[in-house]
Amino acid sequence: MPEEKERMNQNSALHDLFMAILGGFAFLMLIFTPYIIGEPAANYPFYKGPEIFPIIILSIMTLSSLPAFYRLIRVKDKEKRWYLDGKGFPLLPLKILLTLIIVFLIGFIYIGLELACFLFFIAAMYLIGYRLWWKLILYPTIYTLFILVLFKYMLDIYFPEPLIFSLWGG
Amino acid sequence: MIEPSAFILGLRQALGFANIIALISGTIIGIIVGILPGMGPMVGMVILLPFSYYLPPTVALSLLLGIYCGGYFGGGIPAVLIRTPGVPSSIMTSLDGYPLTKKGEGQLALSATVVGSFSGGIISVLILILLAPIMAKVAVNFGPAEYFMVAVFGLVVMVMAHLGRIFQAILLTCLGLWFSTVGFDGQTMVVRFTFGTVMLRNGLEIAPMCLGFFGIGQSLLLLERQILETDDMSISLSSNNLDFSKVIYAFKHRLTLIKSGIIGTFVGILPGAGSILGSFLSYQEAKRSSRHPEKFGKGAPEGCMAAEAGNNAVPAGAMLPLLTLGIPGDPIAAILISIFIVNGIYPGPLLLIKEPELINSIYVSLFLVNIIGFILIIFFLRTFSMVVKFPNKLLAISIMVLCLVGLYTFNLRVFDMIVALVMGILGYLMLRMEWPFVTWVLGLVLGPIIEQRMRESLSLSRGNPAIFIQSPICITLLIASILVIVLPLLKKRTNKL
Repeated sequence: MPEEKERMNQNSALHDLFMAILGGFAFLMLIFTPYIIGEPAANYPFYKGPEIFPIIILSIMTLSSLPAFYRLIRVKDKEKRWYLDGKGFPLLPLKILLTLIIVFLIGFIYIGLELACFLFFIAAMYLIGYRLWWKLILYPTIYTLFILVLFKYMLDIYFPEPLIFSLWGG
Repeated sequence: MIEPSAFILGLRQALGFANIIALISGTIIGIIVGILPGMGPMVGMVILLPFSYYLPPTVALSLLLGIYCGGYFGGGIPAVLIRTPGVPSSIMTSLDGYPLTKKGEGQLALSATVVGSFSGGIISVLILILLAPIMAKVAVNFGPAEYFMVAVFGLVVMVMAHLGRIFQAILLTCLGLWFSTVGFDGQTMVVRFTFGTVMLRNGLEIAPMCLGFFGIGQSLLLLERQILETDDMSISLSSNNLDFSKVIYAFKHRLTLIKSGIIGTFVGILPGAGSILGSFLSYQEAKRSSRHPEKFGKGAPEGCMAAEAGNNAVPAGAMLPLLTLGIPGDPIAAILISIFIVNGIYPGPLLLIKEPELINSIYVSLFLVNIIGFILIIFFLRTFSMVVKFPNKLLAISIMVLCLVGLYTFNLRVFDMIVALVMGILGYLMLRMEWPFVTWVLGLVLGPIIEQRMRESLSLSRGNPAIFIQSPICITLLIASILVIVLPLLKKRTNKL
């Protein structure tokens, strides 16, 4: 059964596509390594310079992606199957991730840790299916307090002043 | 072997109040993350990694060792009760544990599991104490070429452990190695692959990468799992503690416990092999040498003991190459290496001479972790087991925030949070596609060691690569690497024929 699943995943064109993307990226890096690292590398013999190791590993990366490139090109479009793991589109993780970026990360900079943490929790809990208003208030409040006590008061960490304050202050 | 004065100092350090608190809390957290399917000790360790940087090295190590070993202690519980291994290596435990539970022998299965974990842990620490000075003596003669070959051997073993996905394993290993080259090159001070970004000049640090990959990536995956709604645990566990007569019965299987502990330790020593192999080999050996092999898979307590002793012996085994060579045996040991480095301690053969106090306190802490884990599970089994009912999704969003805020405290940079998020997305995709992402971590950690030793060797030989086949140790490691590559391929070919 696991072998069958493994074979199924190996056959997915999406896996080959990811491998090809990584391999393609490695190939580009390989070509441009001398330009990216630049002139200082020329001061050292190749065998002890900063380029030798990246060149070796990028070459291996490119070579190991060749079977994926081959499968992507050779296998006919009709025979190709595109799936991540057969468990459907990851809608909930995507929603939570976007909320994390928009509400928590950007919020962390603009409105500060406390508010960003509290709002993210309300939004995320709503997205995962919580609908009772008291739960939507209680858990984020407890968790935000826990984060505050742990980081601000126990570990004495300095968190940046919310940017929105300086915007208002001019 | 062990200097008494250094041992007493180490013992005093290990028995210090802060250390004991760290050991107990680490073990509790470890058992909890071990019990929660889909979490495991790795996630627990990366969540606490930023906090551990604020602690003295011995306390930080005790905390993380507690999670490391506690995770394996906990992983066997859901495997026995609901056939859902908390950690992947406990899958072998479920083969016999769950049938025993179904027969109404849940107490026996759990006793065998806990006794197995405890014995495996203690045996492996004894072997570690015995072998570490010997290995350090051998490693003192190691030059850069030997170190390079050992690290390469570790990567080869790790890649070949994923034979079914070998190209992905190679790609991910190299990706990890490449990530390790970003930023200032320590030997020439030339900046590499920063693309003009000042933030990348110091390189991609292991904490944001691992926190993102395992903390956020695993949490995103956890969002898709359903809450385990089961009453099996309430039925199987009538009381909060284990039945002592069953525990004593389990201890009577001395030979199985000792053999499995030894197998697990040696698998742990082998760089890249991992706890699944330890548990599998121990189980197979117990089955082979049993008088009733037909009972295995249908509810043999020896099966649970062997599998758990095998996987709980791996942590101490993995500490051996870490402490004596500075090369981590598995990705979790790779996390521990960062604690040493942050505190200005560089693991290697000289560590045993330079820091005898620290080494001895690690030995004692490893002993204590196993004793604490054993006692905690014996007396609070039911309490711990109920953790599995905690809503996964709520847990996932809590972990995400804890990871990001914890990461910020490390360097006080939002940039690290962004790196963690990017790695989280990558980690989630890898986990869903079931790519062998552990190879990426090992590549990331071994990258600087491999590069530095390779360039040192080539500098010594003025660019002649023959230096890698000049010493007997190098030749042995080269042959071993070739065998590790060729033998499984030959076996696969023979099986096809």
